[in-house]
Amino acid sequence: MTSPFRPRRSFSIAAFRRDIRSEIDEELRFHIDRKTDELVRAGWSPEGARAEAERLFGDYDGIAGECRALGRKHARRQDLMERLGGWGQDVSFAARQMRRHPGFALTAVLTLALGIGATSTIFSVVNGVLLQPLPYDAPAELFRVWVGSDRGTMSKPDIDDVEGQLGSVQSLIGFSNTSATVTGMGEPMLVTASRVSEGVLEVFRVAPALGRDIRSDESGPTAAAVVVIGHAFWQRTLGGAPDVLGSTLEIGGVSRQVVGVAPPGFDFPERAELWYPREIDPANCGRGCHTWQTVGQIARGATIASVQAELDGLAVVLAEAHPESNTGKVFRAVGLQDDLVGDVRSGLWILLGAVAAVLLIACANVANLLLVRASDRTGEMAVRGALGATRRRLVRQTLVESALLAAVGGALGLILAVGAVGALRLLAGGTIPRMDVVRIDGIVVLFTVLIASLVALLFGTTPALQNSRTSVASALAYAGRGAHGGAGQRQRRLLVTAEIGLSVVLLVAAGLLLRTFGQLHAVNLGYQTEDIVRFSLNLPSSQYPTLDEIRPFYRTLEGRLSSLPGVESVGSVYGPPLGSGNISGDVLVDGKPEPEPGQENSGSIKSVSPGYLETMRIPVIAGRGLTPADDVDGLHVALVNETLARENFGAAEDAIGEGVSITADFGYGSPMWRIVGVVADIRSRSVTGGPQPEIYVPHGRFGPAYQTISLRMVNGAGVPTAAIRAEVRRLDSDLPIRDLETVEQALAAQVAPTRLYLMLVSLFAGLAVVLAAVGLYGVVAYLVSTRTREIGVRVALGADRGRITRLVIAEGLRPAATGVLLGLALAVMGGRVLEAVLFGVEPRDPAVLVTVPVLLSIVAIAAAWVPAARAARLDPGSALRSE
Amino acid sequence: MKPPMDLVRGTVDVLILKSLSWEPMHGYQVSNWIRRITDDELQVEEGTLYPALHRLQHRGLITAEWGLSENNRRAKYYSLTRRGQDVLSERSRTWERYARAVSRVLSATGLEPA
Repeated sequence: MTSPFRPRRSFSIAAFRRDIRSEIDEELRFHIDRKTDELVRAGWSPEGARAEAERLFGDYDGIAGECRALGRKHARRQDLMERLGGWGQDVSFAARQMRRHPGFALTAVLTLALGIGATSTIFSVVNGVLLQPLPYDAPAELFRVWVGSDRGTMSKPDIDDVEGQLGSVQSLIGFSNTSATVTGMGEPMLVTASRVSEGVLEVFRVAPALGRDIRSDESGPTAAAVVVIGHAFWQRTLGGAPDVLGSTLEIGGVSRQVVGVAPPGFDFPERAELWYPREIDPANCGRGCHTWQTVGQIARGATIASVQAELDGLAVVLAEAHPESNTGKVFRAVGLQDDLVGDVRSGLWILLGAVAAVLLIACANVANLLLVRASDRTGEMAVRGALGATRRRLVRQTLVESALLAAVGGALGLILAVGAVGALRLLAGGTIPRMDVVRIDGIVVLFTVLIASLVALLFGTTPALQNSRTSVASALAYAGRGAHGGAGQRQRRLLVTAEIGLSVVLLVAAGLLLRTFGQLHAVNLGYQTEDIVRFSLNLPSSQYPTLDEIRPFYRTLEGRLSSLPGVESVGSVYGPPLGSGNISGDVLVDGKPEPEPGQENSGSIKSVSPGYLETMRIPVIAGRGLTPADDVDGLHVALVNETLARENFGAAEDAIGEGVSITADFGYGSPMWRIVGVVADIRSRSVTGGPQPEIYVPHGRFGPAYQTISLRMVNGAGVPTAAIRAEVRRLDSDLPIRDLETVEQALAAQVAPTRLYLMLVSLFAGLAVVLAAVGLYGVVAYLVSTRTREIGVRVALGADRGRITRLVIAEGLRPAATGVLLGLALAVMGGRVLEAVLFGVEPRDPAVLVTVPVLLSIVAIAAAWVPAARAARLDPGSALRSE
Repeated sequence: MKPPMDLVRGTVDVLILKSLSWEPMHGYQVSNWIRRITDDELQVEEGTLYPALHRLQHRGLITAEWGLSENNRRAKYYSLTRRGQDVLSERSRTWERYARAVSRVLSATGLEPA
């Protein structure tokens, strides 16, 4: 009650209390006096009568106290009601104002709803993808280890050393993803599976729903034929049979005994549904054999940083102990969530920044609208002030109006966000990881409320103070003429300047992304992506144990596919461009000493069929290509790409006739290859990555059982899905077809993140420009309306109408020009933050930095033109009469 | 003289409202009137009366005004408001129904209704 903010009030309440006290005393005293009188009349002595009256009355102080307490309680409630009533009045007054000016209210509310809705949408993505922890028990303790900076896989001995020797590592297991063919239950099924070095459930601290996890002693040179199945797989294909433990599944031609069922929802890694032990053969695949992905748990009290520090130490020790495999090898620890979403992190923050700029522009626009209304309402405010409303009350009234606008805008924005999040999930589902957990939850709603409140303060404060500052006398003197308000006009120009500045920044960002998108498509990949359909097969080793079974299968299939209608040529490869599967090893040149540890030239091996290069249109630039004869017997011949030739032999021609061997194979041997030709470089791994050294070997001499078959179609022939399935089934009815796609689709997936950023940032930039143009239009239109009289006089005095148009446009362009300059400066300074999502274009790309100001100037001139032209058409007579 | 009966909780309010239904009274008059009208059967203690008067006033069922008493002293006079009248008539109806029901039970002569 004695709040320092309400001094006058508390004083009056104290006085009020004293009144209550004395009134109660007077009332009760009166009662006792009357009783005394009565007793005296009945014959008591005056003293006796008073004593008796007081006795009969009872506990005087108690009764008086109770009455006072009642009075205080009542006073408090009164006070509260009065205050609530004040707010209620303000709110209902504000609501009436909105109803009375529906155009204004609708514009403001829609502008805010757009800004807030867009912001909440992007925030919900940032929240779901980046901020929400992974749905595991202790997600912050899960981590992965990679070799090198480019997510290289690890070798099993290195994994064991990390797990066994580092104090800050609780556990680290290895796994490798695959898609397993499950047969024996009708149509062959392709199921995402993970071959593990030991139980993966244990790492995540989850207990199996049934049975047990894979044990570490079950992987080894001869892995145990056991499998843990996913909960959904169990429900879907086995009907959730309770007696599933002990039954067997045919997986890739191996009978595996089901020993456990994972808990519901568990699907690490990458939606795996089967986990089974992987064979580990230390003799053939030692410390230099990098074939394992990892996941582990840091020890209690350790951090990713402390793990990294220990890893750095271990790398040095291992390099000394095993120079042949570990020289120059570095390990990198990364938190599991970082690992999962690290690629989109900067992109999402950039989007949030962009949408925040849109929100600021929306705020500026609404503030602008309110400032106009504030000028129009000067008279009203002055009258209310004159009638005794305090300045505080007037500020509060205006703030309540802003809050109401923000509340309605925020609520509408949230509804918009619900729809937008749904759309975005469809749009970005395959591009942004964890998109499936993005939704409008409590945190997003809270965020929206916060943003709406902040927004109300942002756009509400200036007009509120503007309103209250008006002195009664001056306002009433000017009321109805509307020619004052110099301060308001200045603020409005500042706001428009800021809007245009922010629009410039957004447009620059959109422009840079557009250039990136163009650059990505302009990249010469080195092969023709159009009209290629491809799919993969994996022949089970049980039926196809050697190259003598594998080779005829694929060559027969290729032959049959190439005679399908619409098919121009067919070729197969292990490790297709922009696809899965890659094997690399060290390149050893015949006749040269083995390179020192750390000095090796690594090369990626492409195991190809005779028709592959022709199908992909990869040109041979020296020597010859591979022939069907090379695929079967005779000399082991191979091709190398230009990069490998240059790195090892100086020039393409010099490579011909040289011998190379490679330290990797699929178990069918890796001989010394004689180079018979050199092919042009292609971008194999990604659109943005440069060419790598590559060696093309005949699939029939090298393997493996896994091949990706590419069909070059006659232009416009479509995808012959049914025919492909039929041909594969004719050869082997138990082979599922994997990853049937066009290369164009693989390419689209590569540029999808850029595409998404481009779409959203362009959308935001477009919104920003429209809002800024509306803001500018508003300022100029208002300027004209306040100066109708002056313009009328000028026209009457014979001013040229074109001159008036130019004058008004110039007035409007001044804030626009300042805004463009400020925005450019901001874009040039802050362009760095975009680098993570750009490709092939500098943040200070001159084309963008020139185009954007020109574009915005055109928009600004157009926005100012309309009111300016209206001003020039003014009829001087009516303009002069208008006041 | 028998000692006055204890007042059933909640009846004080309705008695006070009733006492004020003819003309404004101060607390002492209210107390006297109730005693007189019930032949001293009911007596509202001062410790109950004054807090009840104040509560009824805060709730807007009665209003108070300072006036001059019979012997020319300042006294606080209470009078019934519009809302007070409504509450009084509603409460008296409820009370009468209740009293009739209780008395019917107590005057019953057999297991079946008469």
